[in-house]
Amino acid sequence: MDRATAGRLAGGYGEGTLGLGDRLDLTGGLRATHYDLTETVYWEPRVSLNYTLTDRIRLKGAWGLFHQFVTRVENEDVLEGSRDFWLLADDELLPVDSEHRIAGVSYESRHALFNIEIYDKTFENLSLFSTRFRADQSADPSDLFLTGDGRAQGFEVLAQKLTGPLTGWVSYGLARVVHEFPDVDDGAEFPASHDQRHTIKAVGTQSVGEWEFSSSWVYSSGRPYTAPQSQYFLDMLDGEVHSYVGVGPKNSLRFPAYHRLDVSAFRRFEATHFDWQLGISVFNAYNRNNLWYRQFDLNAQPVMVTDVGMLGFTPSIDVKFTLK
Amino acid sequence: MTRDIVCLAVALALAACESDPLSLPPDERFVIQAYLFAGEPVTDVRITETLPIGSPDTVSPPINDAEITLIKDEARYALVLTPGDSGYYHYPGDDLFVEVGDLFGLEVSVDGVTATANTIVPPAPDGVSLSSTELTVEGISASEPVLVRWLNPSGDWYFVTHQNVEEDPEPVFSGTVIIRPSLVVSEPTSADSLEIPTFSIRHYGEYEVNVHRVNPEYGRLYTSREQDTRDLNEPDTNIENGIGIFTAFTRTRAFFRLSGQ
Repeated sequence: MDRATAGRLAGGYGEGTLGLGDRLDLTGGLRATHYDLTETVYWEPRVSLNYTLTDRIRLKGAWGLFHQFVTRVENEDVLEGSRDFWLLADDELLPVDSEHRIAGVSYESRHALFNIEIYDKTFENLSLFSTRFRADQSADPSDLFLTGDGRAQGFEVLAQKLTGPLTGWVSYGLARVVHEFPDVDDGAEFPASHDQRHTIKAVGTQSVGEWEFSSSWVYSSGRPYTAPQSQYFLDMLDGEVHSYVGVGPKNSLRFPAYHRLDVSAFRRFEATHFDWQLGISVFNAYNRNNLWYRQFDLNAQPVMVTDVGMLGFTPSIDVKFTLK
Repeated sequence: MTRDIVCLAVALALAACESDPLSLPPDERFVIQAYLFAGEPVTDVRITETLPIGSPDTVSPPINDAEITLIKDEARYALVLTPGDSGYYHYPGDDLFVEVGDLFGLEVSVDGVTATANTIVPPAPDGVSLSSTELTVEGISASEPVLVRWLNPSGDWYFVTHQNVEEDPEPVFSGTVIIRPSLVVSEPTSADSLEIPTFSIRHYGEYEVNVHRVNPEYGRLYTSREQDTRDLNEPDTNIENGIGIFTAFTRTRAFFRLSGQ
């Protein structure tokens, strides 16, 4: 499949803020975008509320409609891991519509920030490219695009320390992202390929003398994937026995959890004619073998599975000179 | 004026690859293979398990405790297990008729999971004719092939069977090792004719030719059977919440005879 498209966007946006008393601010906006490949004007209203409960505590909420004209398409590959590619939306591959609903509360002082947010987002015109459901080998690639809907729900908690020699933040997110495509698994809901139930991130920075040390640790639940799970046979009336590979429900399996620790140290030096900085960092300090994708070789007997991992322990040094 | 020069040295650890024999959770779906023939009792319904993807076995384990119901005109007909450990089921009564135009539903329940499917009994093939109904012998077989024709303006699917129906057929060549000629079944075709080759007509007597009209779901099993490691396509199925095939066939008969020289 060889596609090359060009499109034009023309749009305008207006926004206004209305103060409703001393504590409540209401911000409303409207974006209008004309997209030439669909010859359609897309209207995107959005509203946000900010309520100052105290001088440190705020309540907030937002609602809006959004469109995405550059579409991310999942290129499904059960045997060698799915990849994504991007296409411009058009009359057949419509722009993604989404509606966002967000609410939250934040506490902020000079030393710390706490933020809690919940969200509920719906999506239409999501795209999936898959050769798995074609009726025969001669199907045109343009007929292999599937369209569906999705929903993302979750909440996030953030705590941040702003002052002192040790600063940093830690966040936790609980999320659920599901997709529904009529042509996939009889239209049953399935986890999106990027659905990760729990996400934890922690970042810390500590100054010790002339050195600045930082570290970050990320954890996320395993991503879903689809696998060939079975084989079965059908007796045909001409005496032949057809054997088939049965693919499990889409994204019904999960990779192991992803987590890694990155550490770095940084120091500035001064010389007569130049200043220089030394940075030392280690990506994936404990060399966690995080899984990127899984390959299945059906020609091997028994079937061979290869787990392809992401980058392991990776140290780096950087030196920067600045001439005076 | 300042000038920044950045030197970066990175020691890369390449992404790791680990290969292992397969270890995946089993596929819980069951396989339905259900064929209905117009004018015939229901005997060809089979339920089996799937095999693990890496299994060297070539025979699917039968399921002998399924609850199977055929539904026609809102009437429900329960199938029973055919004796033997085969996973085959049949309808034991004499009040179920498979007729042209009937819409059948199928429900199969195994361990609390229910799969369903629907099919319609297609009309009988039209305009069935044979290029010759009386053949003579040449050498050790018939002198000419038999061209079977039927009307197929819409490109529907058909398959053809033929078999010598004599009780004790005499072979043309006395040295033949084929004592009892078997039923010969063609692959489905969307054409409007099929040739019965001379080498399959080697016994004297009457031959019965059946032209069967099949539904698209059966034909698609042939077009979607190509699966390889580069392009895994999903086998076609008309089963909901399961895999396999539920379909019906209707036939039109014709006869030809092979006589002596």
